[in-house]
Amino acid sequence: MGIHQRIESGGAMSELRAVENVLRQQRRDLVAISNAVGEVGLQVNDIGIRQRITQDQLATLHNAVLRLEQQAQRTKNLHSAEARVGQLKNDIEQQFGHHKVVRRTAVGMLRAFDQGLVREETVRAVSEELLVQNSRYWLAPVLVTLAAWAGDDPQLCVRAVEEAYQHSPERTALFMALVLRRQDRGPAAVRWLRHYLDAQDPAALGREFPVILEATAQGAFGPAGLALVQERLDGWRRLLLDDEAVISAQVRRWRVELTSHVRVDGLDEDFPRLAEASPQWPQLRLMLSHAQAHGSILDRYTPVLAAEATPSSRIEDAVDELLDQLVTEYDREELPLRRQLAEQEAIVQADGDLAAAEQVARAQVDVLDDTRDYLSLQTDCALAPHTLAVSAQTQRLAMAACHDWIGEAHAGFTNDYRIAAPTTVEVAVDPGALSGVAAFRPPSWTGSFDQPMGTLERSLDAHWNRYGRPFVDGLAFDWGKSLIGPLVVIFVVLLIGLAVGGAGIGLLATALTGGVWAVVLKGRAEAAAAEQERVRRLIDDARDEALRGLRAAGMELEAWRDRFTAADSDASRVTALIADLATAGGPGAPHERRAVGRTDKGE
Amino acid sequence: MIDRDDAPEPRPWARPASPPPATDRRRQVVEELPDWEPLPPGEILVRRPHRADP
Repeated sequence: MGIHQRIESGGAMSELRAVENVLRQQRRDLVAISNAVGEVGLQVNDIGIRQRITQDQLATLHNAVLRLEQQAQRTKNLHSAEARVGQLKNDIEQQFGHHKVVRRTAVGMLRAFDQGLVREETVRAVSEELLVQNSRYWLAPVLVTLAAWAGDDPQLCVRAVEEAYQHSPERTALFMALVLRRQDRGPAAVRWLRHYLDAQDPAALGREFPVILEATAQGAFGPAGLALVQERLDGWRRLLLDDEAVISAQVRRWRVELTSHVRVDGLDEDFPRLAEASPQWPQLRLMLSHAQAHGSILDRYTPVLAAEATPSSRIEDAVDELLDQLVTEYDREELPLRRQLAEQEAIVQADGDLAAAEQVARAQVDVLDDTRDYLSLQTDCALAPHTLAVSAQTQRLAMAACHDWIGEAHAGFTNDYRIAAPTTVEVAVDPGALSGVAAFRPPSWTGSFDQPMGTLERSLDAHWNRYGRPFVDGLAFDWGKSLIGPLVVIFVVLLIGLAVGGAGIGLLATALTGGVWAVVLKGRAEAAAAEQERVRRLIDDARDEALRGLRAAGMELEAWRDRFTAADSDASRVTALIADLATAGGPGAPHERRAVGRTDKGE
Repeated sequence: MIDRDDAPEPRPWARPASPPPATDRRRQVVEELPDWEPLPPGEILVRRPHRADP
């Protein structure tokens, strides 16, 4: 190597060093930039955090302002409502203050009658003056009626009744019916009951009506009262049932009730093979679940039919509560002001929260005008007696009135699941899925349980063998195909050996190659045989399992038929129950056997 | 609506807020009441002559 080369080499080295220096400098600059960028990133992040904090603070501030605004609004509402409450109370006092006197007098009168001792001063307190002062309040003339009765003044009594009737025939009739019943004047009480019923609008019955229905069903007005109510209910039903759509709506409600007894839970577990193998299982499950509903329907409604008419002090209390309510409730004329007062008081109670107050007020105000039509009430009594606090006797009375709809709904219910019966019940088996062998995908086998089990088993076995055996045979080691490749290789090795190393080398190489191939092919053949045996076993086991499943499904179908037949036979019991409900009528009258506060009647 | 301040929410529907019992629930019969009863308008009180017992 010459001097020139060394000089060139030294120059190149210095250039390289210079380049390295530049690169190092650039790396340092990059690191510095990177650090600076990182710093900026941190600052941006910090700014982001501060922004979020600021936003949160702003949101908190905004919420605080909103709360303050709301609080201010509520305070304003509260003050306004408090002022309005005072004003309304004044208005009520001015316009209806004298009603309080009437109500107090009425309570006194009721107490006197309840104690069985109507003193002269009690009667004197209710003079015609009360009638003059409260000429528009129904309760005042009713009290005069009672006082005239107690004072044996029939003419005043007639005048007072006419006056009361002009203001509220419904309340007057109900009040008189209840008072006369309490005084053991049965026939007169039933007369007033008739007038009470006459004054009812079957499309808008009040909350007291179920109590009257309950009391009548329990015999509080005797057989005559019961017959009267039944006759009137029949009339209302005829009146309201002119409309086909109304009938359909009632039948639909009963259909929903009957369907609510359907339970499908557990059926798949009771008939696992059938559920798994039969394409008709959904229909079979539907049929059985619906047929089994009859048992549940019988369990629910048989006790209603069998319910004994037990004297209930509860109904006595309910009837007394009705009387209390009649003498303490507000008159219709008072309602607009009372409604406003209830709304404003609710605002005060809710500290000016209008939304909360509206809910409370609605619950109170709804009570004033809440009515239901007779058909809904009847169906409610029959379907959900607890929501109306009526007894099994009243439920039975309601069901008797509803029996046509129940019968129609039940006929449709039964008919629908019966016509869902499949013409034939089949069983389907997928051999591929059962065997668990991925490559084994023969077509599914389907058989009908119309055929004897032996025939089905043979058919399934034949299907299995038709596809299983060829598949297993196809897994055998194919020596013919497997030998082609090795033979070609051996021949090529022989040719190359002969050409390169002569006959000796050629034959030796060929023998070695052949030997290696022989070992490899033997291994493959043994592995194939083992795999073939494993698959054969899997497919045979799956076939045996499929045959067992077929027999089990057949037995489950027999069990299903037995259960369905038994459950379906309950349909006729339900039909008989509905027919019995129609003719059940009213129960005995427990109150007839009870003297109300008097034992000297020579029972 | 009941004439008192704390009417509870009506439940069930047919048993709205009950007023405090106005009476002691003694449920006695007033012995001194006359034989006739107040009748609804339009219904006439017929007083049949008292028949002597055979």
